[in-house]
Amino acid sequence: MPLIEAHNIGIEFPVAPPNARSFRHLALRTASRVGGKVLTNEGSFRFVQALDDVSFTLRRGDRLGLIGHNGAGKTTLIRVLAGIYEPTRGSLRTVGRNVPMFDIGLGMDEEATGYENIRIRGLILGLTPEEIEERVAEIAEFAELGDYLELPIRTYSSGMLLRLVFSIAASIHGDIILMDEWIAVGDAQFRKKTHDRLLDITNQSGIVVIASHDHGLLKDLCNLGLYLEGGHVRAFGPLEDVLKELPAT
Amino acid sequence: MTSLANENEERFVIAERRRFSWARCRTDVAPFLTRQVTWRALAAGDIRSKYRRTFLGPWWITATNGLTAVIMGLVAGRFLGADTTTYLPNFMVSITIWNFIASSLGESCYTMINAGGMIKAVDMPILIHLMRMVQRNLIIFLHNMAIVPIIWLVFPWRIGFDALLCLPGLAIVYVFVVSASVIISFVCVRYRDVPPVVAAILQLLFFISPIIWLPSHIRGGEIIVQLNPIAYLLSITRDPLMGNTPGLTSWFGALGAVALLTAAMIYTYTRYRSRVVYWA
Repeated sequence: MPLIEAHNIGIEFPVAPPNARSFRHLALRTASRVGGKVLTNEGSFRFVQALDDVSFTLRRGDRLGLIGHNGAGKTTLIRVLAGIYEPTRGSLRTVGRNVPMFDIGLGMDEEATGYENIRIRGLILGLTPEEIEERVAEIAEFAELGDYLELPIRTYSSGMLLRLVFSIAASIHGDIILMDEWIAVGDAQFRKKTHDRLLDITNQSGIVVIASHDHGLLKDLCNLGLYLEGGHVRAFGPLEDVLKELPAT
Repeated sequence: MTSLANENEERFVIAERRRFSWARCRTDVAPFLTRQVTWRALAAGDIRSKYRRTFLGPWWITATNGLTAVIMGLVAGRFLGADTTTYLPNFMVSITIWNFIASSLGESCYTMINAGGMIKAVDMPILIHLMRMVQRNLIIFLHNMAIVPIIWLVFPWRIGFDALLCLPGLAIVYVFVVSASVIISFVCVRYRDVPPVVAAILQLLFFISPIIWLPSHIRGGEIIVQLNPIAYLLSITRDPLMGNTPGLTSWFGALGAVALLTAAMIYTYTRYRSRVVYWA
């Protein structure tokens, strides 16, 4: 049974001031220990506390909406759940295959054709070549790009590229779906299609976590809410209650 | 839409000071085998992409190496006072092997830095980025080696089945390159001053290794060859190909250096793997 158990998760990003990563600075600092504390504070590593003491548990059927201002830690939390950042404090247990639905266009090759890029993205997602071949036809059909798939993607318009990117990402679903903002691509007709497909994916998945500023969308989609502010949990519980915590605008 | 659902997949991470353990080491190094398809296919795609819209395709690599051979054959043999028929084959094999080592180590400086965007976006073992780079250089190396039979046709030398001894030699060189690249890429993503230092060291290694000169040319200073792991690596790969049998010292020297480096690599990777995403 899919499960996410976050326990007092903390994330600290080291922020190197301009010189902290250089050997020259390292040498100076060592030298300064002899001569006096000239450089000890200036230029030492500082940390950005992106998440602090975040705890929650999600089980099958839970749809969690992450809300908060820019820089509140929503994206960082999504990436922690995806296993990209290992927490610097606390612990995280996830059960089930997670399917990340953010940065879905990374790793594409401008010079390669649409079909080749489907294979590249598939490899990056961890599929075997056989698993990819099974999906190619379906992805091509969904993208509705026809013969363009035989051409290098540098010839695509940005809208066409997004269609391809979305079609690849939306061809799979797992136990845990992680989304950073709802994805909407293409013209009106395709937009409807992506919306329906995303609803399909989220309906078929055990757990969904989505960060969004669109409260209306979250109300349709989620039963739980997590309100982040400056990396802290301001409120966690049924979405309706959490939305009430937001400052009135 | 196909399901990847797998409810047996369980991940548990607890924040702590990462220490070395064999269990952790096994799971960390496993992608080398389990994700082999991924990094090999991505590297092949890189090469295809680089030479797309060119006439010769990847054989440009062979062609440029052939040009080096011609130039060196015309020039170097003369001013080094060596006999072109023996000097040129030796030089070409040496420089080809050296280029595989040097370009991999040189590229490893920027592998993690350049993959930063992907490391922060995709949950993929970072070893894959590194193996992709090494594999790319291996493909280039194999194309470069295609020039050797042509040189043999022009300046034949004695060659027998003992030339197959170069295969275990190349395997050792491969492990050396992978291990050194992992360590260099980790240090470089953390300390951004290191790449130029690595470039300088590689240049130094080029001159103190028997590539443009033969060990027999050397008068005094043999210690440079005896202490240089690159000299051993060259000896166990080049000598069999050139019809000589490398001495036991070369095998032990190369194996010793690679064993030490690989141990250091496994420790570095296991200990710092999860920090790279914060440094990239």
